[in-house]
Amino acid sequence: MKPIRFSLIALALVMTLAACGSTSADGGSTVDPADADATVTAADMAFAPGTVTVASAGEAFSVALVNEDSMPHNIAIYTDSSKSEKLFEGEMVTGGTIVYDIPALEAGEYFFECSLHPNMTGTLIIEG
Amino acid sequence: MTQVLRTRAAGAVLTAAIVGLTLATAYIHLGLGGLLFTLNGLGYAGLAGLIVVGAAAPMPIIQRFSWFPRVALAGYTAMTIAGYLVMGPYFSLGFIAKGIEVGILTLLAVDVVRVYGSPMGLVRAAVASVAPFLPLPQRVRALAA
Repeated sequence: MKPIRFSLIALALVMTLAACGSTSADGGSTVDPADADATVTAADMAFAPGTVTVASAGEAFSVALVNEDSMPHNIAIYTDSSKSEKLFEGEMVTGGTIVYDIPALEAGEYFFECSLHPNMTGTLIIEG
Repeated sequence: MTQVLRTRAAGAVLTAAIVGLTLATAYIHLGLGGLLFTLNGLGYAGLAGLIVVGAAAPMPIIQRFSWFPRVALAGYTAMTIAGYLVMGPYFSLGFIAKGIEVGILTLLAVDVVRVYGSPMGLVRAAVASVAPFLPLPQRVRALAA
């Protein structure tokens, strides 16, 4: 009985660790990073470019996040820097690229940041 | 069960598990980058060191204050969990770190029962260790004794 119990615990642990190490398909996108509407790079705890422009007002769009740091980063979009209203929060990615499918936004300026590192910020401009 | 917990081997296993989990969450926090996470990770690493010193050092003065690393680690862990619940962000690695931290609190609770018999026993030991240095009322000194 004990070996079976131990095996089940070990299996659960391995599955948990495997789940942590991979990027979930649920939060990702089928869009190729090269075909994304915009690309943002996270390097040395900063986003580049700091201002991202997308010409897709009123339409869903995609943003590729290329994480060149060793720590996890994501993109969370808010109406403005007061962060009173969160419009989108992407899945964390560590050392790789993820493409976010972002719901339609009206034309205007938006604020984005990394949820883990609030000093990593940028401006998203949606043009009509 | 309590008899088993009171053995030297059980104490060593429990301490090793607490230190291991503390170093695991320290490693996770140090890997997240940013000042807050780095300081949090360093705090965990330091407290893991204090737990080892408190458990392994044979000097009476250290034994007398061995309650302190346990209380400090429990408080620090509880504050970290509370901070995460308030601030987030909620993602898989964050939840794993919190699971580890709940494990630390659970093992510390078991350790307190093993060493002091109960949380009140820990309080008595803490008061007794600092009583000679404080102008405490006689009633409190008697409680500690």
